[in-house]
Amino acid sequence: MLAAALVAVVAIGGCGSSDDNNGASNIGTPSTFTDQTPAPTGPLDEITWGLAEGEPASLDWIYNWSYGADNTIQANLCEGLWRQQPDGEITAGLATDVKHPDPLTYVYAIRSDVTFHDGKTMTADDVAFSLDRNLTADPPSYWGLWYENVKAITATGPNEVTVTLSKPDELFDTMMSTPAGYVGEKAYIEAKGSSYGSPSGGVMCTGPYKLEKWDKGSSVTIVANDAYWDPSLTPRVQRIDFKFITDPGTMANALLQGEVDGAWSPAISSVQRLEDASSGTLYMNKGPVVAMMQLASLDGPLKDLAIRQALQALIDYDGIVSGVLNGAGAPAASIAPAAAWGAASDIYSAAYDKLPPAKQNLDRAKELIASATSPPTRPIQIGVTSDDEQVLKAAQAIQSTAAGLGLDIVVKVLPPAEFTSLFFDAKAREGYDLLMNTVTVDVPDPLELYVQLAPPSPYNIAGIDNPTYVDPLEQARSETDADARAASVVKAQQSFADNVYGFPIYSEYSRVFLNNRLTGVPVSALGRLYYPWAATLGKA
Amino acid sequence: MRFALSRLARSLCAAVACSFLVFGCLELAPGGPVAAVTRGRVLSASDLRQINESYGFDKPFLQRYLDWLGGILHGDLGTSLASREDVAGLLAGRAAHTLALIAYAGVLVALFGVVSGALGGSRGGVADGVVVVTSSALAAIPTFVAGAALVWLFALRLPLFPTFGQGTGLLDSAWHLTLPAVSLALASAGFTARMTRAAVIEEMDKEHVVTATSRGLPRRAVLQHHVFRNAAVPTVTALGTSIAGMVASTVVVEKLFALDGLGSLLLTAVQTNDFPVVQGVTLVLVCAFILINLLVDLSYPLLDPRVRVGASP
Repeated sequence: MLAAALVAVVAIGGCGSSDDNNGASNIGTPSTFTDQTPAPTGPLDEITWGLAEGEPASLDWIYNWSYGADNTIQANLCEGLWRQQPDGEITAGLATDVKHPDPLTYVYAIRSDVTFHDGKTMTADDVAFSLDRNLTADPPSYWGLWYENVKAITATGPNEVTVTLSKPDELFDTMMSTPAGYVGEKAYIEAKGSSYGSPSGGVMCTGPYKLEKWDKGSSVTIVANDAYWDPSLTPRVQRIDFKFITDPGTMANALLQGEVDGAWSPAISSVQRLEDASSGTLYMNKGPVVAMMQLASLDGPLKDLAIRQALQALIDYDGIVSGVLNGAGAPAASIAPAAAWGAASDIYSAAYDKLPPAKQNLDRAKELIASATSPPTRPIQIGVTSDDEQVLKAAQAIQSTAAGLGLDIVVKVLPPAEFTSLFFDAKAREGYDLLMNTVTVDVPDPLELYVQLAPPSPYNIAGIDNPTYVDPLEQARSETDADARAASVVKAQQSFADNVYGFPIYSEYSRVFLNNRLTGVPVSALGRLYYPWAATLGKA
Repeated sequence: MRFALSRLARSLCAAVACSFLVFGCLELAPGGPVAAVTRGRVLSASDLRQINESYGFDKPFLQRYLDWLGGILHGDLGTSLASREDVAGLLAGRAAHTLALIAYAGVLVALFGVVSGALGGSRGGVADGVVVVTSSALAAIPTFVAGAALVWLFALRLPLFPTFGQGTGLLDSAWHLTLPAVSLALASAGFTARMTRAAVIEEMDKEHVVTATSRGLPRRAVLQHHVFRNAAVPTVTALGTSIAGMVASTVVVEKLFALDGLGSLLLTAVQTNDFPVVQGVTLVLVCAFILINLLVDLSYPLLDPRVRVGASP
């Protein structure tokens, strides 16, 4: 979840973002704030797509969980048992149906009409083998934590795979709509060994596009899979050439000049320039990515609940959204904003309104600080990753507001790799009270995010174990009914907010820039990662 | 020959010392190599142990250094932690791109830096004034500023060149590499022009040049045989230093123009703590630096016979 998105913002000649018009004025206008770009009118031979995160390290999905280039390409090549629709619905994918005779058993009915890109038919063996890699691969699968309750995965028929759990876990089935449930060809993966997913090894999947060429360092080319099994997602664009452009200014220039036809999530600092582009349109939509300060320790200056509540109340949410995000986002009262709610959105929507609002209240913050029984004896130390310019600016804004109320905050900026190491190195983490970066759900179910901040997840670095938070999550994880599950999750969410176990700040809008000749893609930050979005593109 | 051998031995020592520094410095870098393997993900303690074991991160420092050095002697630079590809393979294609960029820029520096410096130094007057002012101004422009300004002018305002990318084929590549090479060359050209000019002026004032001129030798012959020949050593030194300096600046230019060279590879590897790649790229860059200096050294005896008999150039 911790999206250390490698949007490397090394400010090289940085195009000075002009904050002169106070943000939101011309952003989110009705024509470009949408969840769906206009329908395409016809086919296109070839397009060029920019990847702001640079070259993927691998296309083997068990090692792809970066919310970046790898998942963006992969979403079009490979698919899972379920398909995650851009609107949050989970529908049939490589599996047509699942039987859930008891809480520990899932029996998946696998499609019989699917072929891999090399023409071989997909079998239950391929499915069982692919899922099993998440348990047995070396180095271990990044998605392995969703398999922690899995006991066995067996092909129980030509088109049937049975998964047995050791403990009820409703999230397991949902996660089959992510790379945790992707299926590749067994024989191919075994033959390639450790080179699977590399530029030389390639991948062998079933998606609407196939990998044609990975030109190390410069581009990845994918081409339409003419034998794709799902006619509703027949590609209209024959060939897509992905280019790696990590400098935000260079990406904006390339989009403005039409040298690149489209790009997901162009840098916030380029939003203004791209909105004024004549070469194409920047579409935006509500998004699941949330900037938050995560508790690193409950023993330091933040051990007093009143201080945590004061910090929550003093943040200038609106100011940060307009000043730092240039309006391309919204204040967030929860780490699971509307774009993450999925099927149970009524329940989450009602619960959201009861959370402490994402609204600055300096009077209340002052009162809380005065009422604290154990006020901080040293400054609150926040660790921030240097690769997200907006998060860093937000941290500095919070620091300056807090200083005005006599609450001392130190912001420490760390390179991405060092920042990540704070999560698994308790010694390096000493002295840090908060870690700030962006987080997102992977499936339209907030439960996925909250369980990662509870025991035994390695992300729960502050050791949160309050029963009012943990128990409802435990319940939700074994609850089969979606509404009942949501009802439990909102209880946990309320406890998380009441105890201020984290500080959500804002959600970023999902963003996509499309050249004038191109249209059709859903404007969804999750769809970009886990839905075959390229198959929706076509001639404008 | 002895001169060449002693220079070669010195260069080898420098390369080995640098390899130790490169390896040792990364040892001190915060975060450690595990962050590169997990690529930002957080794994359970048991998974982390498995990674530490299977990658050998838990072995003692000296053993890992010697293993790595031994590998290099066999042409094995190790395996990238992030992409699990051979480092040598990752470097090969990109080294060619960086080489092309530096060669292009080097030609520009030689063409404009050396020629304008020689012209200004030998002509004097208005021409010299123009050379002094332009070269001083150019030498002061940081590479990334030059790059951004060139893109703005020649890719956005006047769309003559592409904003990014490598290009395919000779002509297309040259077209794509023009703005990057010019950004890379500008400051170096300014520096080289100033050094060349100073060297030429110094030679112009030498007694034998004054004598030759006063004896009525044609100006062209004087310049060719007495001035330029003797100014060649400091000029080549300046040119070599410039080109060696450009090796480091490619990091900036390659990111700015999204080129897939060693510089951009190094940047990504540093950001993700992909130590074997950082070590590999750094080593190649250091060796390139040493090689350029070695070539400059070896050119001295050819340019100035006095070096051959042991006098200092």
